Amino acid sequence: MALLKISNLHAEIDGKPILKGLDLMINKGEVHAIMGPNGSGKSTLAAVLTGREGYTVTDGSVEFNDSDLLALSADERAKAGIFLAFQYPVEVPGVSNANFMKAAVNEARKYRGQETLDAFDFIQLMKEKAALVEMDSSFLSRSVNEGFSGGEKKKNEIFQMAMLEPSLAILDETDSGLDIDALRIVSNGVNKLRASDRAIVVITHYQRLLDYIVPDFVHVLYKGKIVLSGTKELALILEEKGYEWLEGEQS
Amino acid sequence: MAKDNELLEQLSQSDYKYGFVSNIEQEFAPIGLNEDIIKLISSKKNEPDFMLQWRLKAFKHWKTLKEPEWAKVNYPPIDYQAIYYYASPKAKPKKSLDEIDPEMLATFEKLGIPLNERKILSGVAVDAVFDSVSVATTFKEKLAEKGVIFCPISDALVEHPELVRKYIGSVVPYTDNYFAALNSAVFTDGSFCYIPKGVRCPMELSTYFRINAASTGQFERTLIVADEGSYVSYLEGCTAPMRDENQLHAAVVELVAHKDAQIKYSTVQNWYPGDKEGRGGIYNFVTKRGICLDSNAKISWTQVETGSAITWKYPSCILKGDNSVGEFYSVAMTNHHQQADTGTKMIHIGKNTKSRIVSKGISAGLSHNSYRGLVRVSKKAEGARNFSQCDSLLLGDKCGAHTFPYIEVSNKTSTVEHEATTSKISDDILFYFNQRGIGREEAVAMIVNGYAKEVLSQLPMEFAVEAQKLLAVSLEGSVG
Amino acid sequence: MNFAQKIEKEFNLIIGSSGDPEARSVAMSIFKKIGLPGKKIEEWKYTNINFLNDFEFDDNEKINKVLFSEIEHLIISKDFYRMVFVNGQFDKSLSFLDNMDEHIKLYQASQRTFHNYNHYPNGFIALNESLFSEGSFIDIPDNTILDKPLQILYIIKNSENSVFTNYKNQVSIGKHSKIDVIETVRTIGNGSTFTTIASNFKLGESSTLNYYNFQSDSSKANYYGYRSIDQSAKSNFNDFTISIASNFIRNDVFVNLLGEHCETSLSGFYYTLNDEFFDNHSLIKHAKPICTSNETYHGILDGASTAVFNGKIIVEPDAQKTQAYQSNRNILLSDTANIFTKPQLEIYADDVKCSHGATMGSLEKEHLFYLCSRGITEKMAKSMLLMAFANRITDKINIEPLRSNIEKWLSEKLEIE
Ligand SMILES: Nc1ncnc2c1ncn2[C@@H]1O[C@H](COP(=O)(O)OP(=O)(O)OP(=O)(O)O)[C@@H](O)[C@H]1O
Ligand SMILES: [Mg+2]
Repeated sequence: MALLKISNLHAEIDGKPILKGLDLMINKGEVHAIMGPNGSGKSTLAAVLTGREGYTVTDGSVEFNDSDLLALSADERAKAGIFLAFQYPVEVPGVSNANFMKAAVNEARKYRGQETLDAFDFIQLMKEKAALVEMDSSFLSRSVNEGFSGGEKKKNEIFQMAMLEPSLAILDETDSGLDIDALRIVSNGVNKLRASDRAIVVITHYQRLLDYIVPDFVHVLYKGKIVLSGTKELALILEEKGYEWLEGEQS
Repeated sequence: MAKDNELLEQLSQSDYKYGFVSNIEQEFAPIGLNEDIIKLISSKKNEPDFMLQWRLKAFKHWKTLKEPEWAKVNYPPIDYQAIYYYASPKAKPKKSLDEIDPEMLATFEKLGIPLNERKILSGVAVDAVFDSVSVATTFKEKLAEKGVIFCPISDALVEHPELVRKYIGSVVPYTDNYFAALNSAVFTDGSFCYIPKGVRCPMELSTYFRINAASTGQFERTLIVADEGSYVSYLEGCTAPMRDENQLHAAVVELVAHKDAQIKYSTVQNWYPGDKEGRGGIYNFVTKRGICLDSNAKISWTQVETGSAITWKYPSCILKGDNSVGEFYSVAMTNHHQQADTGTKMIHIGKNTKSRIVSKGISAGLSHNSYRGLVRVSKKAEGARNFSQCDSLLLGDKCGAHTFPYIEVSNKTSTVEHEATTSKISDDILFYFNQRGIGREEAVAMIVNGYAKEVLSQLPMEFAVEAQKLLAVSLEGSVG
Repeated sequence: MNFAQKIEKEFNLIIGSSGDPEARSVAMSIFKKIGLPGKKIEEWKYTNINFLNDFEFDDNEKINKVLFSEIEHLIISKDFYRMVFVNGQFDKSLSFLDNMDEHIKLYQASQRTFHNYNHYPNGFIALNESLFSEGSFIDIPDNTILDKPLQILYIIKNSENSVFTNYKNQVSIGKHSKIDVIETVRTIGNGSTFTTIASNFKLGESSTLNYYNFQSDSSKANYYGYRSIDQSAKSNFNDFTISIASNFIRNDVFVNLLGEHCETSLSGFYYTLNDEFFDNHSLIKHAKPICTSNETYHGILDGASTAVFNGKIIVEPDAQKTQAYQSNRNILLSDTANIFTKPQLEIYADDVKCSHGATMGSLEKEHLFYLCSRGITEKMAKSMLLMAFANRITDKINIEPLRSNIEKWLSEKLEIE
């Protein structure tokens, strides 16, 4: 059963069309990689799927678990199981990581009709998930992303993903800003989160990441559309040839 | 937007939870202000003559003054003759806590301030002031063992007249300003603390102010003296019933820190702010000032201001002793029609004096929130340092946030740095919360608390929790 | 003759002889009502205008002829357009306006009638309006770019006598047009001077005004400058106020952002010495959305001098998406210098990014040490650091000869003993 079905999606920002008829289908358990040149619309796709303000969908549809995703507000989509690891995570002064996650986890639990976690269980859970990305537990009491290095911010995103156990996780350039060790650690973390009831979308520019997180499918997003889809070998071709050859292919 | 409006509607119904009126039989002095009223107040309290003379001088001076107009606040003229300057519960209070009018005990219980010592777990000594008089002071005996004097200032005037005489008006003279002069003439009660040399006060001292009677002003006076090498942490809380009229609260607080002494003064100000249409609420016109008399003294003000229709308040430090330190941590939250003009003055006189100012203003609704501060480094204040950070957060497009810092530096070896920012909550941060499943309202509350954290973390634990809740309550109806 | 008598006399001389007598009379009656600004007024709290009390005016002062050779060194570039005023009058022979775009209309203010004030922010402006003897009235049509900067020189020549002069200017800049203006007041002689200059600038849509005020005058010179700038949409205003020497300088700059997408930058540098008093006041009013303003003033204070910085930014309820930044940094070099700073924000819109910062202190010891550790003498290191501090402002000056001129002045002044 398709977890996410994007059909003919058109979206614009400030009247400027960015997504121009995008189709994509994702099933549970799959890992999809989306590649494409700078400015092609990858982050825009992530923003439209997660319900960020300022983006207008002008045509097309998105179904998530067979219901209209675009009708939900941003926080409802999150609670319904969509998670975005941000390309540029923001800093939130004064709000501790722990408090932030507690609010988020409990919102999600309430949404699913589960009991909220008590403080003890919650701390246990956090420590367990932090270990997944080898994040020191001292980060939990620090303000969200404040003063974190680029790599630490990205680890924190994956830690949050582990906490929230989404059914669809979109990782927007989670590999950028990571050193070699961190890349391995984060990728391992993501791999541990691969599950039969969860799909993962990895947005990246580099084959390197896909050596660690091996995708089932690779798509090329070019000028607002998926112009090419294939298996993991496609990434190798892209690495070698770049994107320019697509110009000819496309027309 | 429509959704936000609904939310606003719904939330602004949530009432000021301390807005009830207690049914306690009270006696009043005749309405209005003249020398006879002052004499009456003084005699009711069996004050020594010097106090009466001082009051009369203050009154005479007050009559020559004009109400200040420089603050960024607006209110109709106050009729000083339409105020009761003295209201006291009829049943003669005190002596023993057991003799207090049960209705009174119930009132404070309802406010979360149990006056029954057995019930107090937190180990905070409380002086409870109800309209014009102190009704109870807890843990007096326990404090006395250490030599700490903590009592209503009216008792102190009878029991320790020399101490009071030495310090009262020494930091805030009655000539200081209009409201200080008025207070000096008519103050009715308040707390007096004296911490002897080398004593670390064994518990938090606290005064809880309650305005109950209608058409009464509250003019309390607090005097805290920390002798050499002593330490005290003092907390102040306040509430008032919901009334359609505005009520005047013009207090004076004086702090004196001797050599090596430390005073930490925390306020959670939650006077009735008026309703959402701007009717009623307290005019909170307060003069608070401390002096670091001698070397290495430290005075630290922390305030969380959520209440009052109008706040006019600048807790200040005169850093006279060398190496003395002044701090000011403030969160001021205004909503609906509230107006706050608050800040501090740091007057550097001694060498190597240090001051730090952290002010966080939050404006919502139709309110106006101003930071007004002065940092003055005088010629002799070699090596003085100040750092000020004044941030304003705007939660709506109909409110205002203003910053008026004055910086006057006359010493080249000093360093003064001031920074200020004004902005709304960024869309990026809000979206980050939303993306983690946290809705707008909760997100705003968390972000605001985070924003205020540097200040809240200065408060003693129980107060910090209370203050966080208060901020959340004051925020209600502002998310939009 | 004292200052009050002097005002009386000037007024009787000028009324009816030039300009609009009614406007002059109204302004004078307002001046008589409000008087000179005193310390009770918030905006004048730190400003001491007592120097006016000591003024003794010689009734027989005569206008001295100024020779080109006397002003030659004040000319930034002979190539630039130039208007020269001497003791209150326009001096055509010293001016240079050849080959200027004929569409640009230049008039002497005394020959035009124009009113700029609905109300007078202070007594000096009322005084200026009632007494101004001359000034420039410049009208730049749409789509016109002045090919070279215009330097306006106000020369006061006196021997020992005190001179009081008032100028009023108006500059209207059409859509998509651009002009660079350099203003300098200079005294030649030993007497005291007091000069007021009130200028009103109107910037059309997408126009640009680069304005430079460079004051390096005698120790008996006193100056009051008022500039009001009304900006239409997408216009660009860059103001430089460089004050290096004078007895008294007070600048009032009022910017009104009346259209969307305006950009404003106010840059200032002041160096005060002895008992000089320099005061920079500014008010930037964001009345419309999506405008940006940026204000940076650096000051160095020495001797028993005093500097005042007072910058106010008002963001009106309409002005969403405003960005406003303000910064004032000061270095104190002496134990007797005073700095009074008041950066203010008044904000009535919510979607804004505003900030201000102010610092006061001495030169960073670490920086000094670093330079000295590289073998540079302390004296040298100090002047290098001070120069670097000044250059943060002067680097932004786009007119090369002006920048090098100012930097030359500065490097001479900043030779620290
Ligand atoms: N707020 C905005 N206003 C106008 N244009 C925008 C805005 N945000 C994004 N764009 C434009 O939309 C296009 C797609 O941007 P997007 O961030 O989705 O690209 P991307 O594929 O994620 O690129 P990268 O690989 O560099 O992250 C770009 O041309 C970008 O400039
Ligand atoms: Mg991107």
